[in-house]
Amino acid sequence: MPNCNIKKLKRRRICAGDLNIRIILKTRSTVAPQTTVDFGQEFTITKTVWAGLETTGGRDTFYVTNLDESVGHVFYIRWFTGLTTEYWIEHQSENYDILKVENLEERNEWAICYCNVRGSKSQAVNNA
Amino acid sequence: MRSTSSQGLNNYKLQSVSGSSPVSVLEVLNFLKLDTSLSTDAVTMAQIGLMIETAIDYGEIVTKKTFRQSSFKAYWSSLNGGVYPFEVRKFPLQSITSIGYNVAGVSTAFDISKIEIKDQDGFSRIQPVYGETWPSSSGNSVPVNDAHVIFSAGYASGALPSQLKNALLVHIGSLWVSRGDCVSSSGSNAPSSMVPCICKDIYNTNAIVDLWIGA
Repeated sequence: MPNCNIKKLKRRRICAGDLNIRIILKTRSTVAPQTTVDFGQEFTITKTVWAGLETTGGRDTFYVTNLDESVGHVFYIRWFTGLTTEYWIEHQSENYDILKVENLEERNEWAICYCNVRGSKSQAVNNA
Repeated sequence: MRSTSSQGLNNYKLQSVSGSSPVSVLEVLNFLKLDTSLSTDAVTMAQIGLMIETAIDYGEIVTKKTFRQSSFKAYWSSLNGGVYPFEVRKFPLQSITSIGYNVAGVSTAFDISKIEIKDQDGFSRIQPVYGETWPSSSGNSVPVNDAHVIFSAGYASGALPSQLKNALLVHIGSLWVSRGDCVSSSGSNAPSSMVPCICKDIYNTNAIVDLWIGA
């Protein structure tokens, strides 16, 4: 009889219990200038979701912003259609720029957002 | 809780489920931290609905308790006068709807005001009130035919104990996470292992120890 070799595929997933923080997902758009020649930026809150957070590096902070542009924070969330790097994350009043979005095994179940922390959302420099 | 057997009612048939599910779809979505907008997705709702039913069925089988108010019909193997108490093997017993039997081809209703429910640690019992007897034919010499009772049992909406409700949610969560997984017939992937240990512990702790042997 022929032997069957079962091909084991990796099926990574996150425990729902590890989603222990609430984060805000928001989109960014430019705002036409009213009194100056500079375009402004405006965030629109899209949704608030449960997330898990893993830090992978430290910060290189100058004044109120992070100078390092590498991934230092990884957020794990439930996948939702339309999630792209155009989104920004707000957590504990800080802005996080999503550099990459990984749709885990393309199953549309879990998303990993690789982020660069910008800094306090109240500082305009951290919106860029 | 322990229940001892008493000859009498058997062949229980579910008539209808009148109570709402002890766990709502929205509660499941929130428990699993799923996006609540999924409640508009028909496929997902069907899957979760099936999982809720599966978890309720499993919990009811293990605990011998009815998780939502339902109507049942049960038959006496023999009813022939007397004042004996009969165990109603659904928990918690809420009320008796009707009792009927057949004498010489004529369906007859037994006045349910003549019986009382005796709650006890486990299944409740029903028996005639003082001075009354169960129906019989020909002066207690012949059992009546087709004697049956229709009753309501099960936890009322919102009354399911918190432990059981939590066990339901954990079980549903496990079913959701492992949906589509294939399982082998033995070993750690056996189907029974799909029920989290914490659920089994809670159900076993809350189960009525059933010493009945029979239908």
